[in-house]
Amino acid sequence: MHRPDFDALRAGLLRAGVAPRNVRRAMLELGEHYDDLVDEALAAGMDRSDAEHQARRALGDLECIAAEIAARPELRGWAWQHPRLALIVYPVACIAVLPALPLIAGVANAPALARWIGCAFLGGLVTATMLLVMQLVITLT
Amino acid sequence: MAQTNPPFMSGVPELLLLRLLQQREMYGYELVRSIRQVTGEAISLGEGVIYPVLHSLERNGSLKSKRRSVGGRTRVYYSLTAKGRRRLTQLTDQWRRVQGGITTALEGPGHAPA
Repeated sequence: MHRPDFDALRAGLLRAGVAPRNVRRAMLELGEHYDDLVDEALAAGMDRSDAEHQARRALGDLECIAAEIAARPELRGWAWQHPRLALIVYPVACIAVLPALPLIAGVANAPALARWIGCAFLGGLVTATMLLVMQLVITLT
Repeated sequence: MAQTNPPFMSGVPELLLLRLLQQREMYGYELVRSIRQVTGEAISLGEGVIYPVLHSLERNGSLKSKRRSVGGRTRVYYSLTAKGRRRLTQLTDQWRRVQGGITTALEGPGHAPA
């Protein structure tokens, strides 16, 4: 017996439009609750397999929990609560952010960018050295 | 699998949670244990379904939460706000009216089935 499939629950909630912060919170609390239930059953003398089975039963069907969460509009993301406004705000925000995208991409990929710049510099140095050597050879001969 | 709250339980978890949190702050697992205890195990919920109720109550300002690390575990403690106290009074009044009506109906003269 394994832990309940909290990853599937998380994915389902996000697909249903539940706000990511509410999903993270639900995952944290459900996970801790499950661990408490297992600990309680183990303390009562059950073996781990039975304890986990009982904990899953007590926690309830994850699909029912997902349905309960998804049925509450106040727990949904901003764009799901105000879809018409989101249709206006998101494109405007995207256009506003567009000029900063190269900078954001650079910061997000700083190590790769540093490697690329290093390689390009090294390549340029090798090429310049070769050209210099060639020029010297031509000049001296 | 334990079931979620059946339709006739609508509003009951909210009332119980507010009532329990009026006494002291608690986290989810503690709340479920307390519900079992105070109701004499008459109300048995799929335990996970209290979280959507708690989150909604927090969202509408009836509860506030605080995270604490206790023995390596992260506990989210809930406590009642002033708005939550007002909501509790309102729900308690509603519940008493419904309870009174049902009691009257059950104890009044009725027609036994033939």
